[in-house]
Amino acid sequence: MNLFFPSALICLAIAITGCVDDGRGGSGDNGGGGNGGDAGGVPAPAPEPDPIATLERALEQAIDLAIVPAASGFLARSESLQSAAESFCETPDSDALTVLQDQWRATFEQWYRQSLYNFGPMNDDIVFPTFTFIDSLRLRGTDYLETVRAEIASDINGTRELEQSYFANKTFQRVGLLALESAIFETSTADNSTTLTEVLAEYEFQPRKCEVLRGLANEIVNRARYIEQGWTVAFLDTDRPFRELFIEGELEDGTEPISQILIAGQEFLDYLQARRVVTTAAQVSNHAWEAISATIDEVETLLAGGPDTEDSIFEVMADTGNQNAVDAVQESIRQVRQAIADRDVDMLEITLGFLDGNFKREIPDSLDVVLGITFSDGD
Amino acid sequence: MTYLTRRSFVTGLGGTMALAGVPPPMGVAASRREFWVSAQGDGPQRYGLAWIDTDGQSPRSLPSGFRGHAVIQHGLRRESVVMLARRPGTRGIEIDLATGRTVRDFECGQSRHLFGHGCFSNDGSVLFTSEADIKAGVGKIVVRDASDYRVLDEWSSYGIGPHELALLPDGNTLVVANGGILTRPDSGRQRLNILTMRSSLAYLDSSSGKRIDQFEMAEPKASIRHLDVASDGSVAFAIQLQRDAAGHNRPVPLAGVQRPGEGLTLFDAPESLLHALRDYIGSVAVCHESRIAAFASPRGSLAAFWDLDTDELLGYHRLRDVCGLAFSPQRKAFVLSNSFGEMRELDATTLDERRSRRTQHASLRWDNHLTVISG
Repeated sequence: MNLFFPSALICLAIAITGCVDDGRGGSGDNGGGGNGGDAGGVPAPAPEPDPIATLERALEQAIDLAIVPAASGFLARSESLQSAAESFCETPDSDALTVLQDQWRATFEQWYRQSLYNFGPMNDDIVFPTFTFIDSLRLRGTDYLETVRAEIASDINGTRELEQSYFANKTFQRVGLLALESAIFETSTADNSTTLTEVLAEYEFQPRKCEVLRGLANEIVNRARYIEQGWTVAFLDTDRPFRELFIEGELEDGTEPISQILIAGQEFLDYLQARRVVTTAAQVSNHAWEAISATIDEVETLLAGGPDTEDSIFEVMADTGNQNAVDAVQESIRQVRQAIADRDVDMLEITLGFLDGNFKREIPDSLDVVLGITFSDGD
Repeated sequence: MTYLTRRSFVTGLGGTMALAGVPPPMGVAASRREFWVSAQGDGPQRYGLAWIDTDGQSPRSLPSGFRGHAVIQHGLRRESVVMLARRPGTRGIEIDLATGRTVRDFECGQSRHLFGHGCFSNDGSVLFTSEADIKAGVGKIVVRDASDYRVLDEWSSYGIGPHELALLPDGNTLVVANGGILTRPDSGRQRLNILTMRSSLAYLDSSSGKRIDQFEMAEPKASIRHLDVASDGSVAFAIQLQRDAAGHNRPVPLAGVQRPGEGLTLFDAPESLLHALRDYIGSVAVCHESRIAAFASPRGSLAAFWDLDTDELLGYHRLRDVCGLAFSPQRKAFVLSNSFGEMRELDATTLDERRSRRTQHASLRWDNHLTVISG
């Protein structure tokens, strides 16, 4: 009885259709009738579009054209960051450092796109969730900047071998994009200078800092690859990609895919406002606004689709008579963008709240998605 | 368990909803037969009580007209259950599961409301309910005659916002979870004393209402709401943290135990798991044999399990919106339910899920608490 065995308990939900009542009724016949046939008769009404099927198509396209690309994009950005780190360490000059910093910014922005989808491979272990090793702030809004600064200084000034396993075994508070941000944008000296020449000088005079940089960058790639492979190749011990499990509604906790997407979306939007992330994340690089702007871009990609999208979530909402809800969401997005353009922290918080509310009400209501009973405080 | 086809489900539930249901008499079944009962519904027109017969029959449901919270087996009429209104409701109804009909109901007294929980005395003759004295803003334990629900007496709960209560194995001591948060019906669920709130476990003599003992939480914004009692008198309790008023961002344990003769012990867990519980546990159940305490967090869509004797975290199980939680003696399993009509069974010793027993009744919305009634 002294075993802690999450792997025994966390198992994928296998839909047991024989015991599930879907509550919809009907035989699956759309009832559209034939082609009319009898010339001169009243044309048979066109078959009603099946909103469920349309939502399924929109969902599949959202997964293939937004969610999986977000994971693939993060892996690609991470690999570019890793490559830039290698190049910089081989030829440490200001140009290479600038490229490295640009790559970190691009990776961070992509992370803020992917963070909208914090489920599946990103969050498949409650005790050691992958996302925390990339973004420690996300767990509960604790800023570990001083922790990573102290860790980097200790590694630079220490004598132990900085092999990859050392970085792989670090706790989440000491690694991730925050640690890389500190390593790339500031010195590890007491003043934590962000002056490019001083950052460069530290790398030139402290060769171990490049070992730290490489170790941290490699770990980001490893985590990004784990997420991407989980979506596209095999999830946990299933031998099946999470994409497939997700589309087929076989999530371990029984959540329907559309519900999971909406819940994850509202959780991230809630996090952005509740933790006032624009004032706590990416403060050394001064890149928080751009990251949140990337999140809003991703929200639009998810809901409105991209150039290759044929059925978007917005279209399903509109087709089922909920254009007003679509308009409300688009207005919220517009207001968030305005707050970002104005660099208005308070207004950003307010407008993110509007958009968060859209994920809780207008979108699920329009799609006829039940997100569950709200167990209020005190129940 | 026999899985239900959609047709049998629709027929069974539809008939019950329309005719108040006429399931076979409970006494016909073997003594190990169980009913899994819960408040259910997600709107005023759909609130009610629903129950499943472990003999495999279709679920039954009865509209109530109000949102129920906990359901308890009647102390005298063992084929009946009492469903109590969720805060700040004032109604309690007794339903005979054999006939599927409401047989009695009651309303709170003037300036009183329920908190959704109650328990019967050891001899079954008295019902204790946790209630609020709305004017005075204090908690009460109201003593009712179990035969007709007349109020016999009323005691202090020794706190504010009393929630779940239970009788200890000595047959005399009541344990009450005082949540500590003052609310009033005219201000909805707004917390009126968040700065001064104090939560406690209070122990009362169930024959006199006198306080025997009381334990307060060290974390001032931790509100104990739910509990279950093990056979040795250990009380497993569950917490809801008022994070917005806590003034810090530290992880706070949300589950614990008060063992006889000891103070409050909180169950530790990795920070990420505590975070995943989202500062909210909505129900607790104990298996007397394995001495495992189970806790459900609907906000975290997670149930977590600790050893009552070693305080060790044993595992967890993910189920979206899970809140209903009970131990089934017949199945020797923890039964979990959620607001999507799903139920799952976990072996109460190994905590392995019995996947073949998964069920979903998509038209049902299992609410906060699940109760196992032995036939």
